[in-house]
Parts: sequence; structure tokens; C-alpha cells
Amino acid sequence: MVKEELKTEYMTINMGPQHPSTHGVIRFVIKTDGEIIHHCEPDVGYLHRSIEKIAELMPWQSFIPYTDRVDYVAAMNANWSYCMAVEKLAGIEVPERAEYLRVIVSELNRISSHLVAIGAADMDMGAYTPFIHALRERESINDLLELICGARLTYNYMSLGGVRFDAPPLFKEKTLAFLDHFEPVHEQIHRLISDNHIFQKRFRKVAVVSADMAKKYNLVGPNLRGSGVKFDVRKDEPYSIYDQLDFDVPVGKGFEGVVGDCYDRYIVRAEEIRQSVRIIRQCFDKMPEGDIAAKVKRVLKPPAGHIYVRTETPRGDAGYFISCDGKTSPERVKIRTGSFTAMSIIPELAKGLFIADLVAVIGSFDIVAPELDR
Amino acid sequence: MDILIQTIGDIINADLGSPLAAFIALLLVSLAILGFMSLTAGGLSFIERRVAGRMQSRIGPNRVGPQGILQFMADGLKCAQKEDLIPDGADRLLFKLAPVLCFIGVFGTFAVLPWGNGFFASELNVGLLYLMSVTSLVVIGMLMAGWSSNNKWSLLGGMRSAAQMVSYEIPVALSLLPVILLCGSLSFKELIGAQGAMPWDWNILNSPFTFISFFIFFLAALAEGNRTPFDIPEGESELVAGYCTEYSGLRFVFFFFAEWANLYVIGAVAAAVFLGGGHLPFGLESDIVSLLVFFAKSFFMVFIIIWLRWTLPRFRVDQMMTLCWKTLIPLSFVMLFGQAITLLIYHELTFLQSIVSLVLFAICVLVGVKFVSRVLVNIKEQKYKMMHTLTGS
Amino acid sequence: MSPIYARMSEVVLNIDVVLNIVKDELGLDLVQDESAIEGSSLVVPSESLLSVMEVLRQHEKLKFRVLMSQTGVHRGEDMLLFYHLHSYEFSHTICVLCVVPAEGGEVDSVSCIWSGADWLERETFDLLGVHFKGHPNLRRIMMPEDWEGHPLRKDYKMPTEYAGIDNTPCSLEKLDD
Repeated sequence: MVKEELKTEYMTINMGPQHPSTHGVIRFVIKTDGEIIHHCEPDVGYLHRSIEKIAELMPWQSFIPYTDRVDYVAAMNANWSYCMAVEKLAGIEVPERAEYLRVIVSELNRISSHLVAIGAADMDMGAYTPFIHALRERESINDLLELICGARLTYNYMSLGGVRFDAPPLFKEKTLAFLDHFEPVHEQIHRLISDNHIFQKRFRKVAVVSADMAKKYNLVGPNLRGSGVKFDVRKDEPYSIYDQLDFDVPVGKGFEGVVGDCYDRYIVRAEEIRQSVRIIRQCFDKMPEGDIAAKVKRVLKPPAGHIYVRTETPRGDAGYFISCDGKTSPERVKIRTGSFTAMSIIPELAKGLFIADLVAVIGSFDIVAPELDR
Repeated sequence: MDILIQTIGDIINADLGSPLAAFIALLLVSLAILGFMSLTAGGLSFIERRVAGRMQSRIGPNRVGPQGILQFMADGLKCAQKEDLIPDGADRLLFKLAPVLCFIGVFGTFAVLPWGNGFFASELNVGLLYLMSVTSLVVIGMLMAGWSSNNKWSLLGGMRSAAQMVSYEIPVALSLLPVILLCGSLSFKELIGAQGAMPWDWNILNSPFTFISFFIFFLAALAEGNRTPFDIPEGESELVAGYCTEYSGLRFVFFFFAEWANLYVIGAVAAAVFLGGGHLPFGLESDIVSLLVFFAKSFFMVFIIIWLRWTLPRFRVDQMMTLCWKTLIPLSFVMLFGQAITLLIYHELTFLQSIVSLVLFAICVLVGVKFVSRVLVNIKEQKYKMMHTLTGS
Repeated sequence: MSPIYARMSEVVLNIDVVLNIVKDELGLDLVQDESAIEGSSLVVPSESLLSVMEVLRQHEKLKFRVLMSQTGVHRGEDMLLFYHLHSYEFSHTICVLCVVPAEGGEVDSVSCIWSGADWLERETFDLLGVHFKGHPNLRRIMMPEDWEGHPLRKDYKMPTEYAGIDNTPCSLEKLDD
């Protein structure tokens, strides 16, 4: 009997750049065997605006608005990373009140960023309602940030040596009132989706990243902590006033300890929101009166040298490498972001997953396309 | 209204001498049903959006007509004006045929669906069987749509829907069997007639086995209707829009028309087969009242489906198949077997049936009361917390 | 420098320890890089980069298991490559500087040591034109495949046209047309 060999081949599917759940303009070229992914090749660069090149062409201060666009979901944190790097480079001292204001706005921004991350992960799983609830709370945070700096998305709030505006009257009261209102609502969103059986079935034991693998690929922030590495730049290499504040560093804890799956990464973000609320409350208690910005020369000429500064943004530590040759503009600015490293691990993780799982993986890594491409 | 129904009933049941008169009469009836189906589908789209808006602390469509009730007409008109795109490389014949098949599959079911207790468009003695077979057309329509679009996402959606609906037809049929066993008929009239007015006379509470069968039926019907948590063939975040990605204009409307009409079909079958049709106790029953009661029951089921959709995430494709083949189908076989034995026991001990039904009814009431009270307490607590936090302190 | 920032130097590694370890293991005399504003930094010749990196990762007193960042700076004739390493075990960081010629510069890829280096090196290749030997997949990552030149080099000229799209800087005369 002649055995006929059937010829089969993988189906190549193009996911993105216009796909509902790639969170921006990212493209994946997937080779699938039916529903199962055999090979996944991310194609990034659709949002590459050469921000690093722009930095080389302008004075030190003028680059701050561009850092907003590096990560527009958490622009305050991106502002801060750059400002801190330049301040260290030029030896500028930041007044204490400005540090407190920076922490407050950054943590507010972290809450709103994590809300987007959690909501988008839910929506990728097909649950719309938690997403809308999360965005509703984010609106309130946007209102608060608008109150302090006049912008709702790209803030340009921090300046070299401090912040641009002092907190307006009632900012403290309104923020604290929001936090009181937000805490039960956060519980509600949590209860609605995180304990849901179907949601857990979709997220648990999917795309497991071990601690070693996370270190090898240099995952950062919540993605790293989801794999059980308890490292937070705010705690382990404290900058600003974080060492005077009391907060915990959550690691991924599903129901079986640290696994490193999508659910662990997701739950870390939910826990971090609680910690941010704690931090903001403490800041308001301790905030001193005083200046909000140091005097900085119009034309800044830091000494020649290079520096690499890390700060904890919602998507992990953002590394700002600045090389200076003693001129009025940077010689080179390199921005190493959390989304970039998270993206580089996806080809390895995606093998053998379902197409629907790939969506879950992207959602759980909280990839923001402009931060990825810069 | 009573008179109207009476008249139509007379027309259908009258001895129609000439074939022409029969044709006209049937045409009129199908037009009436088409009108009803359009209104239901459109109305349900409106209801769904408003309910979703309510659940997501927003308003939903409220501009067209009083409270936005005419929104579906505006949407339909808008879609009718859109260009009818057929992608390059599409199989044109299949591409055009697919939405029609989907539509026919759902429209066909309305032929046997009951309207209240006494009135049927056509009284088939194999009504349930016919209903299940005619819905299978929808699978072919979706598979055609996915295949002919020349789009890989559509193809994946089409394959998913074929796998899903073919699988879930089995638990739907199997979970209806215990009731068929109980009533000894496939005709909707006799299925409704075998049930009484009070809840403990309904098929659902006849025995624990029919009770569980009802939930199996509900889950499997959700999957057949492509509703969350089983909206896998068109899962927006995975497959863009699944099988109907490439459709635009009126063809797109046909798909969604079918989907929303299908919602009502699920509700109506559940109401007729399990929930006692349009019966009303204390001699209040008349044609029009039974129609209203029947509608109320159907739309309650529809509301639950909508509620589920806006609460739950969706299953993954393999989990969905596992649920079907490893849980629902074996379970429904057990239910069938159990019901058969129960019927034998009931035959010997007739008083046992009423006891079991009453106990089941009591359990249902207790669970319902518990649920409602918990919800009320939760709402009260939330309101108190919010009031407390927003007003000061 | 502000007293707040001064606290960070607690986690800074003593550079002499690293220099001694490398000397013991490989017999190489490395020098400290003085241009680092903060933290320790050492200069490694490009031909022994891979072996030094291997020591930095494997040595039990260092355990640099993470490559945080990899980038380059185009300065005159030289291309300065910076590698920032971190160790979660000891919570210390180090910067490794490696100088290669700007034109036709080549260096060993470290992606065999840290998988995360794959994309970082691709980016450096794409934007600065450094060739990494032994890289598994050295393709452009940010720019299109057929792009000419490497944008972050100092001698880079903006192309006036790409794929039929005019890219000349906007001038008033052009607006008048």
C-alpha cells in the first residue's frame, strides 16, 4: 500500500499594525499551525520618532516636553527620569518640597497608568466593563493632574531643579478625597475581574517566565516582580525621598505562590496601586513648605561625562543614559524602557501558545508602543 | 389585539381552498413575522446598548427618538447607505450568499416558535427537531463568510465558529431530551401544554435532572448564539471581528440582525420548554395575556444573557471545546439517564413528584432571596462609602 | 551634589575589586573610565570584551546577571560602546566602556551571554552602524529594512527622499508654490 504524504505548511498571519489588541502600532508576523503559534516575530518601529536624535539638537531644558511623548501613559515618570539624570549630571540640588510634589504626581500617574494596564488586559480578555470602570477612575486622576499643571496627558510639569508650579489650593483636599473614594472602587474592580474564574483560566499558567529567564532578558518593574524577583528601584536604590516613605514591594502571588505567569504580572500591578495610594497619603502628611525649584542657569553647561540613571516608572525602571561633552546640548541620550525589553521576550514566550494567549501576553506585559519605539 | 390574533389564527387554520389564497395567507404571516423579528432584533440591540451603558456608568444611545429608542433604525439606515465592499480575491458568490444563509437560519426558527400558549405560525409536530436543524444553517453561513472573505482572520473565525457550533449543538439537543422524555412530544404546543401555571409545575422543576438540564441548555445555547463568554468566533480583541471582518453595509447588518434575533430565540425556547410557556394561574389566562407572560419570560432570559455578556471575559478556544466535550456532553447524558429512571419512579410513587418539585422550588426561592439581599446590602454599603467619602472627612 | 543623591553611592561597587578579579581570571590590565559621573566604570579593549563580560557575569563575587542597557556614542573617529550591568544578588552596578573605530567598527556580540542583548544590539546597529560579530539576527529594528545610513551618527545626512516621499526641509519658497 502506498502511503501518501500530505504536504502541510504553516499559515503566516499578520497581526497588526492595525489590530485591536496590539496596544498601539506594533506588528507581529505569526506563523501558526491552525490556532497554535509556531513562530512569532515582532516588528517594531512604527512609532519611531527618533526622540534620541532630537535630544542632540536642542538645549537641555527644551527636551523635557519630548520625554512626555516617550511614554504618554505615564508622562510624569518619564519627565522625572530625564530631569533627574540631568540634575545629577549638572549637580543641581532639588528643594525638598519639589521632591514631595514630584513623588505625589508620579504616584498619581502610576495609579492611572496601572489602571489603563489592568483595564486593557481585561478588555483583551473580552471583559469590557472593568475597562470602562478603570478609565472612569483615571479621568478623576487626570482632573487632579490638570489642576496642578494644566494638562491632562503630556504634562511637562517637571523642570530641571524642581517643578514648574506649586500645588494649588484645594489640591491636597481633592486628592485625599479622591483616594478615599478610589480605594473601595479599586476593590470593586478587583473583585469584579481578578477573582473571575474564566479570567483566571485565561491568565494563569500562561506564558510562564522564570526568575532566571526574566533576568536574562532584563525584564523590569512589575514584569520582573511578577516572576518573583523582589526588586524595586524605589526601595533598593532609593532616589528622591523614597527612603523616607513606608511602602511594600509586591511580588506576584497567585494562589500557588510565585509562578511568573500572566496572572502574577497582572496582580502585581493591582497591588502596586494600593502601595501608591499609601505613598501619596504619607507625602501629604510630611510635605514641608518651601521653594519648588532650584535656580538653574538659562544656558546649562554640565561637565563632560556620562551617567546612567534609573527610576521606577509604571513599566519598570526606565534607564536614561546621557553622555555630555560639556556643550549646551546633550551629546547622546539613550532611553532604555521597560516595554522594549518586555517585547524582546515575546518571541520566545509565544511558541506553542494560542493566538488568544498572545493577546493575553501582550496585555499582561503592559506594552506601550511609543515607549517601545521612542 | 385579541381579535387580531384570532383573525390571523382563523386565516391560518381555515380550510384554504385555492393554492393562491394559501400562498397569500402564508406570505402575510411570514411578513408579519419578519416585521416582528426586525423589531425584536432592533429593539434588543437598543436594549443591549442601554443595559451595557448602565453597567458601565455611562448612558448609551439616547438621541434618536424618545430615550434613543429609534437608534437601531438610524443605524440600519446608515448601514444601508454604506458602500457594499467585496474584497479582491473573495469568492463572490459565497461571499454574497453567507449573510443570507445566516439570516435564513434564524428566521426559519420563528416558524415554530410559540406566541403565547395557543398560537403558532405553523404547528409542526417535530417543532424542536426542526428548530435545531434549521439553526445549523447558521454554521454554514459563518463558515462560508470566513472562507470566502479571503482574509486569514475571517478564516480563523469561520473555523472557530464551525468547531464551536457543531460541538455545542450536541449538548443543546441532549439537554432538551429529558424534557422531551417527560412530555413525550417534540411539538411546542404539547411541551407547553404539559406544564402548569405554578412554578413547581414547570418542566425545569420536575426533577433535579431537568433542573440541571436547563443550565446545560442555557450554556450551550449561549455558545450556539456566539454570546460571551463564548463569543470566540468574533472575539474582537483576537480576531478583529472574526468571520464578518470584511463585510460592510447591509450584509454586515444581516449578520447582526441574525445574532440579535437569535438572542430572542434562545430566550423563547427556554421559556417554552423549561419555564412553563405563557401559563398564568388563577384563571387569568387568555391569548393576549399568555402572549405577554411568554414575552416577559423570554425577555428575562435575554436580559440575563446581556448581563452575562457585559460581565464575563471570554473563554479560550481549547477551553471552550473542553467544556463542551468533557463536561457538558457527559453531564447531559447523565441527566437523560437520570430523568428516565426518575420517570419510572414517579410512575410508581406519584406523590413523590410534587414533593421534589416543591423542594426544588423552595431551594430556588431561597437562593434568589439570598442573592437579592446580598446585592441590596452591597449597594447600600457602596452608596454609604461613596457618600461618606465624597462629602468630606 | 544634593545630600539626597549622595546616599546612592552606598551601592556603588569598588572598582579596584573588579579590576583585580579580571586580572586574576584573565591576566588583563584594565583601566578605570574616569568620565563616569556616578558609579564605577571600566574600559575594556574590544577584542577581549566577550571574555571580560563572561567573567563579570560568572564570577561569584560579581554575578552581573543582567545587562540593563547597551548603547553607543559617536564621538569623532571613535564609537564608544557602553554596557550597563547590574546584579540583583549584590545590588551593584557597573558600566563597561568599549571603544571601536566609528567606520567599520566591529565587536563581539554579547547576546550569547544575555539574551536581552539581542534587541539592544540590534538597536545600536540600526541607529549607529556598529557591527556585532556573532549576533544571531542582526537586522534593522527601528528603521525600515531598506533605509540608508544610521541616524544617530554625527555625520548622518537626512535623506531628501524616501520611497517617493519628499523629505527636504520646509522652506518659505516651497510653501509659496
